[in-house]
Amino acid sequence: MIDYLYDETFDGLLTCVFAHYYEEKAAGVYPERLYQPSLLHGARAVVTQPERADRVYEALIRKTPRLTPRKIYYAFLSETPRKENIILNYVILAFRRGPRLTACRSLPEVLALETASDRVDTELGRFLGFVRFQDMGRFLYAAIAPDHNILALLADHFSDRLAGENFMIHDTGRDMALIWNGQEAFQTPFRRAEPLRPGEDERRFQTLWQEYFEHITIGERRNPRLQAQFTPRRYRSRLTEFQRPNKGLFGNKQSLTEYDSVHDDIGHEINDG
Amino acid sequence: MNVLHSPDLMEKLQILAGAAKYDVSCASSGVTRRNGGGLGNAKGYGVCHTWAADGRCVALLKVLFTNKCVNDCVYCACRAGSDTPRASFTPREIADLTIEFYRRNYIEGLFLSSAIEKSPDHTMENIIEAVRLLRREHKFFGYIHIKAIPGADPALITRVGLLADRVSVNLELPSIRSLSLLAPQKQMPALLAPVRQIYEESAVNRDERRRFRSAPKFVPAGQSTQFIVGATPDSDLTLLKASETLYGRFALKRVYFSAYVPLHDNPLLPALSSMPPLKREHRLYQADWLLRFYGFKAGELLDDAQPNLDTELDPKIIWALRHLSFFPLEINRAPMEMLLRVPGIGVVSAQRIIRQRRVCALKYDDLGKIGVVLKRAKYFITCRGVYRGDAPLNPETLRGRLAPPPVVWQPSLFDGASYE
Ligand code: SF4
Repeated sequence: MIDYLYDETFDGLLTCVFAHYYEEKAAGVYPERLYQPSLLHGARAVVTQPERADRVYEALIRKTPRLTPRKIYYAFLSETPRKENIILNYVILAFRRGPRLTACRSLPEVLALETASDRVDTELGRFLGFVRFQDMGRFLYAAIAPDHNILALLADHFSDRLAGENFMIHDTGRDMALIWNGQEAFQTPFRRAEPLRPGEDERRFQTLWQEYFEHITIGERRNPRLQAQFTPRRYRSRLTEFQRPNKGLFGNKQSLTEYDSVHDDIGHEINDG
Repeated sequence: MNVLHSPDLMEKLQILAGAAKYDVSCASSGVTRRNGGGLGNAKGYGVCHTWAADGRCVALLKVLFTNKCVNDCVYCACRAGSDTPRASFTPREIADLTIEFYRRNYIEGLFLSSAIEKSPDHTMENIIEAVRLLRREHKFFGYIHIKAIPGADPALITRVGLLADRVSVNLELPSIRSLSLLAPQKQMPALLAPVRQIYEESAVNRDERRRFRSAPKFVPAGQSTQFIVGATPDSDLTLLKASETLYGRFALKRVYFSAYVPLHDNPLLPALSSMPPLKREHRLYQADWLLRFYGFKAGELLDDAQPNLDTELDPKIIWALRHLSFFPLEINRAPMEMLLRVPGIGVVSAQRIIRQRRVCALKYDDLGKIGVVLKRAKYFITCRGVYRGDAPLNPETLRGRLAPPPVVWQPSLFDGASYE
């Protein structure tokens, strides 16, 4: 048994899985950058090999239930502590059980992985709605600060939807940006000290939207706790409609962001039709 | 883009968003479409963009085209006799505003409704022009929901149905009696005419599309409607029966309930000081979920002796308490239809139970992990033959156990998704 150390890429993690099957059994997989040597096992840094990673991924597609590979990828994008070991244990179980894996949600390996992947799925669902673009003239710019690393998962949705535009979605916490130039989408490291300053037209649309947001509320049904369940406070600094200070439609002196927020983690309920 | 610089646009938006807010539907779901070379696409599961301070999801730009109305429906803020600021958009303002909001990812699309300015046809033509601009000029592929104006020429309904994803008619009141009292200019048959027309043309359209793939789609996301709750003495039974008929007879995708908010003093209406019946609205949504996804019939939930839903306990628990002879059910044997009737078991957990027990019999400890709410379910099930409820199966004791503690209650619109 050995601890494998990887470069924090998905391919790197799958290369470690490959090594587990074809070289030496893994005791665990850890980011090389953060590894604390263990007394129990030796450790080895694994060089990422995309062909090996592909072989593992293709085997998962062939041998496990349809959604399993995606769940693994989503769990990888989550900020769950020790996610590598959760994924390793799950992959081992998945290959052992094959198509019967779906019936096993109550097993701890499955529960841990699905919890991680569900978190990413939930946040992705939220951000399809929560990304707010500003028109900067030559391109649309959105700053986001998601809990999990969902940037790559936004690419298909927005590049189809805004196919004729140029846009940048900036994950300010991870200093990464997703860029669409009208032809292709790619990720690149990106950082800015100053926030971008939108022009007058852009500010006018933001105000129109803020006004709309206030006037669509039924005052007699005011329910800030329920609102906070769905738009948790930590996301609000990036949401245009919550950026309007001190002018409540109902003579309320509080700005919307000042309400107590509760139940931050209650799942996103999709508005069904 | 110039029309968006008109100085009174802000005021129009304030008035016409404010007037549209009582329409509860904001769903953007039911149709999946990729961007066909312009702006936008549609996601079948719907996307919420934000939540207003009343806790309702905002997915669409929901506005009235105008709030100037020739009718005088007693319950409505737009009625001719009401002293309220009036405004009308132009079709281009609607189209351009939708595009600008959409590009910024504020919304999934447009929900355009209207009061009746001049005549139903005149109003409908304005609406169609706004939608035409969006679809043809802006090449907009996002979601569009249009409220049809009852009394408009059927040819106009057909035209709008070919441009919009969802078309709906708000019936507002579930009985002819209430309608003639509160909306004397409206007649039930006239209200139902566009509902029937949309239903029939959708059927023809599906058939055409089977033969010619390229035939344009007619109202692909189906139709919905809304009832006001609490403005009239109509019972929950009347409302649920009406909904059941609409689902069964006209294939409606969704019936919405909107707790009546008292807007003016009139002997025909609840007093101005009364609160909107939010709890009742919430129970109606739960009952509606039971009709649509759990295989219940309105007549099983309510009858003439008991025509209104219990406000303390949800309708599924009430049903179970009235039918204790069916329980307890053995989790490892009960068929899907019966699992769905157990309080604390939702559609997803019922499916998981069925899937998992094929592999091996479930243990009691597994149930919580797959999403069963044992706090409620334990009184109604056995697992491997063992009953874990800590109370005898009789309605009075169970009522006490299952009633929620008296806390400040929070209504959650459409909260069926978590309804178990
Ligand atoms: S026709 Fe519609 S808008 Fe006009 S008063 Fe009646 S409900 Fe209100």
